[in-house]
Amino acid sequence: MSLQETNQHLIEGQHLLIKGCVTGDRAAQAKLYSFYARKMMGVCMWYARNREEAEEILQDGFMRVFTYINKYSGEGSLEGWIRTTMISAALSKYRNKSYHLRPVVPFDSDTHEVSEDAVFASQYDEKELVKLVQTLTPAYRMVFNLYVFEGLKHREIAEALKISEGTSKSNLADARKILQSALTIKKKIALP
Amino acid sequence: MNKDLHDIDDIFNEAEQRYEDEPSAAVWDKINADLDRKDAEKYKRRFIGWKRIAIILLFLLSGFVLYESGIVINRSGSGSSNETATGNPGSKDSVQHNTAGNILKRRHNTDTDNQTGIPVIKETVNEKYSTEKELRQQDNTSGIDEKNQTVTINTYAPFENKNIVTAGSINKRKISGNEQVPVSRNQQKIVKEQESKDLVTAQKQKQDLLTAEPDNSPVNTIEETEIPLIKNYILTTEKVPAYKLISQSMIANKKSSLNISDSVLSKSLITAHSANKKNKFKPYWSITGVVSNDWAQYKLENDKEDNNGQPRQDESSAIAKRERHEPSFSSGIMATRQFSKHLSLKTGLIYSNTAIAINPQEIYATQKTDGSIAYKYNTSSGYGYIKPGFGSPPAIGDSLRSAEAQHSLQTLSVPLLLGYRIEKKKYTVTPSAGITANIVTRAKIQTEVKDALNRETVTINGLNGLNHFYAAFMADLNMQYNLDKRWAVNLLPTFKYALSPITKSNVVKTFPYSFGIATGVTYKF
Repeated sequence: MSLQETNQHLIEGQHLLIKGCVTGDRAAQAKLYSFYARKMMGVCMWYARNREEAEEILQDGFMRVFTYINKYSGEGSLEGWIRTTMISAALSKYRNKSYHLRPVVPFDSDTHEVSEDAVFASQYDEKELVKLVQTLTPAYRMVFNLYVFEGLKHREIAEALKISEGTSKSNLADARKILQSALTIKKKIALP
Repeated sequence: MNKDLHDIDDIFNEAEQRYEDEPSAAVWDKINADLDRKDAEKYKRRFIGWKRIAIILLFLLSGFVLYESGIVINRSGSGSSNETATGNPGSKDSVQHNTAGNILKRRHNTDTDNQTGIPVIKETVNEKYSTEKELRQQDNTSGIDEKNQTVTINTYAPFENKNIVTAGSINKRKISGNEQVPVSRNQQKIVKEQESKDLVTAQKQKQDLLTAEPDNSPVNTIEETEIPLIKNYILTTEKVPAYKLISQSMIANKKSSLNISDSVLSKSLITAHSANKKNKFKPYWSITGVVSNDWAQYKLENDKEDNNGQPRQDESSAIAKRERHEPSFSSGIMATRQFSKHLSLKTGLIYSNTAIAINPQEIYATQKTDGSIAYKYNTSSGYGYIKPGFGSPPAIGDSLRSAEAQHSLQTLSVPLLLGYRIEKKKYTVTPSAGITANIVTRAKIQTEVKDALNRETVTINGLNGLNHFYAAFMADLNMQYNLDKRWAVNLLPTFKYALSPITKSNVVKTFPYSFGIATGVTYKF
C-alpha cells in the first residue's frame, strides 16, 4: 500500500469517525476520545492548576467536541480543531470561575538578580515545566500559554480574556520573570 | 529585554509539543454519563416545537368543540322546539281535500332533519296570484279577520299542484274565518294546551302582523318573496322564503318516511318549547379581584453559547444549588366575558412578586463591556456588577465574599384564557387555560459584600441578561360560590409555565413556573 493510499485510507477513516460522532454513535465517540485523549490531556495540563482540574477541562472539552463536531468544516486538521476546543473550555473555566491572583512561586530580589546571569540548560523535563507553569496564577498562566503556545497577539489575548492589552503585556512579562527565576533556581540547585 | 526571556519561550514551546499525559479512566466514565444525560434530554426535547403547537391546537380545537357543542345545544333547543309538525298526520284524505295540513319548515341552510312543522291552512287558489302584491291583497281581504280575531296569511308557492300554502295562526275562537279545518284529536288537544300558553304571544304577533307595512314594491321572483311564519305554535316575525314552504303532499311523504306520529311530535314540541325557555342565556361580564400565594420554581438550561459564539460552561446546577425560591405572591383583576352558558373568555392584569434567596458566595472581578472592572454577580435571572466603596479598585480575578442575598422579580401579566363553566346550584367551577404575556418590570438583588475589614450593603437594580418580555402557558380552576345574582367568592388554583426564557445572553436559560392558590371576589353585571 502506497503512502498516498494510506493517507486516503486514514482520511476516510477520520471522515467515518466524524460522521459517527455527529450522529451520536457512542462507539465512534469512544474511539475519537481514545485517539486524542492523551494528546489533549497534555494540552489541558498546561492550562490547569493541577491534574484534577486538567481532567475537568478535558471532560468539558470533549463534551464540547461531541456537541459541536457537526460544525467542524473539515478545513484544517481535526486535531487542531479539538485542541482549539480544549483551549476554549479552559478559557471558559478561567472566565467563569476566576481564581485568586496568587503568586505561588516565592522569589526574592536576590534570586532575581542571580537569574539574569544564569545560563539555561537546553533540556528540561516536560513534567517539571508543566508543574512550573501550573504554579503561575491563572491570569499569568493564561496569557503566557496563549502567547507562547498558541501564538496569539496581545490584542487577541486581551479580547479572549476580556482584559486590556496593557494588562496582557504586563502579565506576560511577569509570568516570564517568574518562570525564568524558577528555572534559574533549579539550575543553581542542580549545579554542584 | 533579556534574551533569556525569549529562550524560555522556546523551551516551553518545545516541551508543550512533546508533552502528553494519560487521563484517568474516570474521565471517559464521566463523559459517557454526560452523553447519556444529554441523549435523554435530547429525547425529551425531541419535537418540542411540534408538541407545543399540538398542545395549542388541541386547546383551540377543544375550545371550538366546546363552543360548537354549546351552540348545538342552543340550536337543538330551538330546533326541537321548531319540530311542530302537528295537525293531520299527512293522511291521504287531508292531502286530497286540502283542508288541513302541516308545513315542514327547514332551518336555515339545513337540508337534514331540522324540519319544522307548522299548522297551516291551505287553500287552493288560481294562478292569478302570481305576485306578492296580489298575495298581500288576498291577505288583506280574506287572510286577516280582525273581528273574529283570526290571523291568516296567504302566500304563493310555486308548487306543481299550484297550491297556495298559507301560514295560519291559532285562534281562540276559530281558525281562518269561514273555513272548516278538520283537525285530528291529538292536534286539537295540543293546540288547546298551547293556546293558553301562547295566547299572549300570539296576540302580540297578530298585532305586529296587522300593523306591518305592506311592501308595495313589485316582486318579480319567487325567491325574493318572504312571509311571516308561525314558529312553535307561537306566532313570530321570523321570515322564511316562500320557496321553502313545502306542499302538503311533501309533508305527508316526509312524515311517513320518518314514521313520526302526531302525538310524539306534539310532545316534543312542548318539551322543546319549555327547554328553549330554559336554555335562554344572556351573555354577561364579571370582574374578579384576586390575591394569590405562589410557589415559584424554574427550569434552568445551560445557555450553550456566549456573546462571542463560544460554548459556555454549564453553571445551571451551581445556580440551582445556590438559589432557593421563597413564598411569593400575586394579585390582580380579571375581567370575564361569559358569552355562552358554558364558555367564557378571561383577561386582566396580574402583578406578581417572586422572591428568591441566594446563598453566600464568592464573586469575582471581571471586565465590563465599558472596560471597567467590577465584581460580577450571577443569578438565574441575569447578572449584575458590584463595585464596593471600600478597598482598592479590583483587578480581574480578584474575589469578594457576598452574604446571603434577596432577589426579587416583579412581573405584570396579561392573560387570555378560555374557560368552560360548570354550574351546580350555587357552585360554579370553571377550568380555564390559555397564554399570558409577561413583562418583568423590576429585578432587584440586595446583598452585603465584605472583606477582612469592611462590610457594605449593596443593591443591584436592573440585571443584565434579563429578557423583559416572555410568554407563558396558564391554566386555572375557578371554584366559585355565588352569594347572590351579582356577587360571588372564588378559590382559584393557578398554574403558570414560561414558554420562552426570561433570560437572554445569561449563563443559563431560565424558564420560571409557579403554582398559586388565589382567593377572590367576583361581581357580575
